[in-house]
Amino acid sequence: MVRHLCFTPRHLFMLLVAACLVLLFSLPATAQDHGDGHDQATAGQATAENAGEHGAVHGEDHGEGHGAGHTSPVGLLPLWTIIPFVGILLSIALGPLVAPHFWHAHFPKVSAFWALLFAVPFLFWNPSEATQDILHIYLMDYIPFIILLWGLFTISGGIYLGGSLRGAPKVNFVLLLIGTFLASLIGTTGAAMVLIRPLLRANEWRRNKVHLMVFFIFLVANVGGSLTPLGDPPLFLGFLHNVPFFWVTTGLIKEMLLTSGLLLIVFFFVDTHFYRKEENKPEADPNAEPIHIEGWHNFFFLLGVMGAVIMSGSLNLFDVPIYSGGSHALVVPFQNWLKDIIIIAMGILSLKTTAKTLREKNGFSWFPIQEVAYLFAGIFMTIIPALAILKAGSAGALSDLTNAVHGPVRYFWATGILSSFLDNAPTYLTFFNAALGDLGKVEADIPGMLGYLDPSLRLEMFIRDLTAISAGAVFMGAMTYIGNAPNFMVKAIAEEAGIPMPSFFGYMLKWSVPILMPIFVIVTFVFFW
Amino acid sequence: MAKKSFYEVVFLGKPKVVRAFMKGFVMGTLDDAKIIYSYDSGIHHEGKVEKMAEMVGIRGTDCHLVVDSETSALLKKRTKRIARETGLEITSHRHIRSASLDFKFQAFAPRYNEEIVSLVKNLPAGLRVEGFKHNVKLDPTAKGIEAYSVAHHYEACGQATVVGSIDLLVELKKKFAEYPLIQSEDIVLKLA
Repeated sequence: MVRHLCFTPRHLFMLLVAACLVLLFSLPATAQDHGDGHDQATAGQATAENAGEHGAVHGEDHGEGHGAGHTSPVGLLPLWTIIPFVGILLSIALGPLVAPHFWHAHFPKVSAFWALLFAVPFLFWNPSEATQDILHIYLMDYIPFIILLWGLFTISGGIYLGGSLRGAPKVNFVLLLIGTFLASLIGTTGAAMVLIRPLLRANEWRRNKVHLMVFFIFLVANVGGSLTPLGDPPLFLGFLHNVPFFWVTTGLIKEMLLTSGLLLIVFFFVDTHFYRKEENKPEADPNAEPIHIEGWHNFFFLLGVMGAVIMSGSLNLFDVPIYSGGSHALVVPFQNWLKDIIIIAMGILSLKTTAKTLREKNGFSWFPIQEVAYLFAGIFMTIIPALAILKAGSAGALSDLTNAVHGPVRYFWATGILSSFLDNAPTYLTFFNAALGDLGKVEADIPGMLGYLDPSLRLEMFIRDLTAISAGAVFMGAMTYIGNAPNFMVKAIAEEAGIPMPSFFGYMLKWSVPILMPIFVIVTFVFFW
Repeated sequence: MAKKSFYEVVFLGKPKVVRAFMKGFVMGTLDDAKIIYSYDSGIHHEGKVEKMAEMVGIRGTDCHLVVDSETSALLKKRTKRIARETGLEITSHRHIRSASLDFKFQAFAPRYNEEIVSLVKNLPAGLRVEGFKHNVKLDPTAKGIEAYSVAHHYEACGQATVVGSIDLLVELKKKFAEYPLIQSEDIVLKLA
């Protein structure tokens, strides 16, 4: 009897893991240990002058460790130390496509695997430096990130849009328009969760609905979240790394308006075309339930979250020392913890004051937050060497990347194309640090470079680069299903509502490439050329 | 009731011209003719090679139609006259022994699966289902919304071939088009 070798997705994962293990343990470490002698980060303290704008700069606690000409020892790690980072991003990208049920059941283990694959040798190599960097990234990035996403998701899950809408081009246009701007307030995932079911209900009678979901992904689940750090995870990570809260509002408004404007126009024509093909259009129902919002008090909690985030960037209270065993002291500004406490309180208040039935109507579950928590725990661990190497600029192993990617056009497309296939949050962070490393700047310099301090510190080159990186990460998450978390969520809800969503490549070839690419080319020529 | 028989007739000429001719032909000669144009009824009539040859100009444009036996007999009788007086040449005239339609579907909610299965199991007389494969997978752990995973808690898929009279198959294909979750192939003719 002939035994047939059957190559399954599990074998693919095992092969990937084996290859990484061989690379990790067979190549010599080449990190140079700069040991003691680093200056404490003295990138400067700046205080907020404008109400609501970012103020305190935390050079020390962002672990820069940069005095003039010094690079963190982590920044001199060899390139192969980023294999776990690449591995986890590829796992997130390919897992759901290649083996959806395996991925669904085992993604926490996959994330833990990649995290430990980096963390254990890292701690063994330089325990004090590793402890400092791990604590830094989890205290300064991961925990605030998760708390914000939890807060926004929980609160928006308590907002229910009820009523009868008749799915026609004008109605759908208005829904998408509202969703586009709502995404910046409650996050792309929250906005998608609140509006997907009203859109589906309104258009239940229609046969051709794929385009509705696709444009919903384009606008509500991606482009719309570009006006505040609450809108999309990459922008919140930027805020955590010293980008003032309202910088994206003014910095990306033009790009966002052009992109979403063009998309809405195209949508209206496409929807009108399919609407005209529909037979048996329903008549207006005199007994239709009026449109109404249930759980509207949650908007106050959302304002509370926004206020907390803005407050953390405006106040400069005291620093809480955490760890001093590394090359520089790790401190956490007290206002950061205050922000997190307020967000948690807002979320708990939402849970306590909102009827469970509203969440049930929204199909609310904790699973998406669990997914984010597990996956980003792994991402943030494994991203440590990548960020440090990029920050090292020409001294680091990714100097070729920082040298090759110059200027807003390349940043827009490089960040964008990678964000299309890998999660856009770590991609943003990667190019964000590449831009800093390229200019030889640190995060403490960011408010000055963006023009929030002394005008002489303003750096147009960085402003254009950061605009391009932000736009690329947020907008191009719409290019594929795996570009941004809500994309898959919308696809799954649409499929369960009987809509035959296109395949992964079908979505790209029939929708995102022919519609989004030309728009992004226009955006490039108008804003970044 | 006698089983209807159908014939595939292939005209060398543009579909619009053939269509116009057939309209007039039927109006002038027959009260009740059944004519189905392959190009707009989902009947397979040319492969990719033929399409490319046509685009490039190596092959002339032809129009495939399916007609009932009476119309077929009349066309056969008048073939030379039609070619002489209209320029439309009939290049093929064959009896259709049978026709088949392959389809498949995928549904992620019980309601849609049940609708499709009910449709398949209640086909009109004259059509029969062959090789019906149907599979339902349940994964209770995948219930609810997810952000990074596309596992559904309910997945149903199926495929089959429907065989029968061409006119009923064409109607069935139109019916299938009303169900977005059903993907049907072109109707394939088995010619004598």
